[in-house]
Amino acid sequence: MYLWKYWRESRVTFAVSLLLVGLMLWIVLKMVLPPRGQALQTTADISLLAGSLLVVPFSFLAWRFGSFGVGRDLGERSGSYLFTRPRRRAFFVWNDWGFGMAQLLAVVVAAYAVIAFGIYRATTDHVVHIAGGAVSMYSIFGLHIVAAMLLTGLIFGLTYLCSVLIRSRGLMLSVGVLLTYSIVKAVIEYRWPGVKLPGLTLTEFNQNPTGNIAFASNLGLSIALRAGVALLFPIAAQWLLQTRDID
Amino acid sequence: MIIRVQPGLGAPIYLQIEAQVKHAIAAGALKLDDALPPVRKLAAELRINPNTVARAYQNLERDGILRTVPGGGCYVSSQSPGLLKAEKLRRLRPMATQLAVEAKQLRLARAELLQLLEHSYDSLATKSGETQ
Amino acid sequence: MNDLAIETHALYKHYGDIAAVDGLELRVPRGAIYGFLGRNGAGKTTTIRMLAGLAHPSGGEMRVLGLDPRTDSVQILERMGLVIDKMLIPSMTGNDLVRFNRGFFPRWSDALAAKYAEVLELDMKRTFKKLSTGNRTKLCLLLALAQGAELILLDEPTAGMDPVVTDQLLRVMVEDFANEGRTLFLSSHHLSEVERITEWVGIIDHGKLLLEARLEDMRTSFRRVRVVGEALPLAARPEIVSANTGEGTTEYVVRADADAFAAQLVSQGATVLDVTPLNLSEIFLEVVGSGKGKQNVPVEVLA
Repeated sequence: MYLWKYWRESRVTFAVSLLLVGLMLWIVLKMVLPPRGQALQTTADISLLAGSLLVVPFSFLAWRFGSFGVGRDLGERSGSYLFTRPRRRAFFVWNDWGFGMAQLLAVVVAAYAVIAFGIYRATTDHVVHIAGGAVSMYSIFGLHIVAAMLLTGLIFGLTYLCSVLIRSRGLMLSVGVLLTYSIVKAVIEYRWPGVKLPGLTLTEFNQNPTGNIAFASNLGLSIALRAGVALLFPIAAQWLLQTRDID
Repeated sequence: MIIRVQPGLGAPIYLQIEAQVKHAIAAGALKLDDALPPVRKLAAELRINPNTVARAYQNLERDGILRTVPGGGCYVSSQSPGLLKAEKLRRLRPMATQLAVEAKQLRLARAELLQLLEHSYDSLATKSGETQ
Repeated sequence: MNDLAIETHALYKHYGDIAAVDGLELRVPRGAIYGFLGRNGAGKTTTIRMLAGLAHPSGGEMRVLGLDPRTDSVQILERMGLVIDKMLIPSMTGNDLVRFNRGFFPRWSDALAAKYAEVLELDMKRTFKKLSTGNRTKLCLLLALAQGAELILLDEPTAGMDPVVTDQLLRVMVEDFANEGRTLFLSSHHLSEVERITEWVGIIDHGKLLLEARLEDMRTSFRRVRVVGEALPLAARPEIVSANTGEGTTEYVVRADADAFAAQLVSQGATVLDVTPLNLSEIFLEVVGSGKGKQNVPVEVLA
């Protein structure tokens, strides 16, 4: 019954996102599919680009989801009711986080499924050429999903933590942090060209010296680290709720 | 029968309840074997602590004014047969003293005070239809 | 220890330099209705928040139903109903809130919730944010009572309520308490209501408990002794709470042994005018106001 509360808060946003995915499907079907019986004689190399298409909408969605859950109750001053229900603080945080991430996953998977479907129908050769060989386009989309979840996990977690930190201004704080980081990163990299700070999104592919596309080096490590960072936010939120007085 | 209490007076509520029950019996509003409201009901109606009502009922039962029936319920018992005369006098003495003090301060004559007392007593006897 | 529903030992809570709770020693017997009385800012709400596990004490000990809120808060909250802040989830209706709340409590009773909704005349289909303040409080109380709790903590339940709502709340509180013999702890500065229903009273001021006693005992032992004359040799007794002279009389308020005190004055040749009882409001003003001279302490009293 606690998840029911989260569902009440998030269902509209969730439904709208799925509707937009549906809209996207309709556009894809209209624009990408070739006339009956014909298919383009191409490979699915275009899949490589699919990852960058949806960064902005996914970021926005993760940001919106971050405002649901206990942060909302704290902002509406019903914290003293919620946190006197007989459950540990961890219960609230991880139910919020788990359910939010599940909904985000559903949208991410649905969106990429639509795009993959479009590319599948538009091409004959369903592999992607990555330096050295051909990789199935499904693996590429799998990687896209992972990258998208890392991005949404980061922004969702950060926003959730912000909404616990400063209640009614959590969304703005989160935007502030993300912008500040991006600006600082840009300034530092401009000033010291050798230095490269991690960006908000996972770098999936690089151009190797021969000019071909390849998987980024240390991809597994990057994924693990980013997952760790994303998890730090709900852990911090739990810690905050346990140590600070609830208003 | 309606019991009303005034908590703000400083007189203990249980005593007020006891006094009102006794007064009601004396005035004939409560007759022998009449039922008093259950503790919880009276407490809720008066918005007072149930233990206060319980205490009043217990005191009245101890004095023989009420009796409880196993299975619940308080009823008016016969009029305090078990109360010794000495006890009755002991109860009334503080009120008598107060009356005397007030009368003295107001410079009321002894005869006038007695007249006042007789009048109150007689009007009650008329209401209950008994002579005592 | 187990016959106390709530106890605190040397409980402290500091906010910076300010001690909101300053060495509080509470003893709330099980099965009692306990009135926790104090002015605004005396520390009532802070104490209740600590007992509920919402705020961390700066020092001292607490036990609620024998358990420590710092470590066993979840177990306590399963058995304790609360009304603090009078704010629930604004977008939910009464029925939504019943549905939401029900899952947390194994002893929840839908029948009791329905009964109180009727008694309190609550529209359970209205969203919380659209309810008036009085109805909001009633709904909060409904949820706390339908929970089947052994102990109910109420923070100023009748504050700001009109007399009709106050009356309804009192009636429901008494009825519910009478049903199961549970413990009811309420903080208030509406002394006339508290006086009706409480057995035990704890008076808190500046974070400290000034007086904790059965209300009946307070009523029988606090007395106002008025004596003729102004220049009386004051025997400094600990029972004297205050002494005031004016218009040819001296007025003492004593907390015990009034008769002995009056007799002592008489033996010194003074004429005692009268020895009268005080109601809770007057006792409160004396206890809280004492030591600072006779000031007009603004305490809300509903006549």
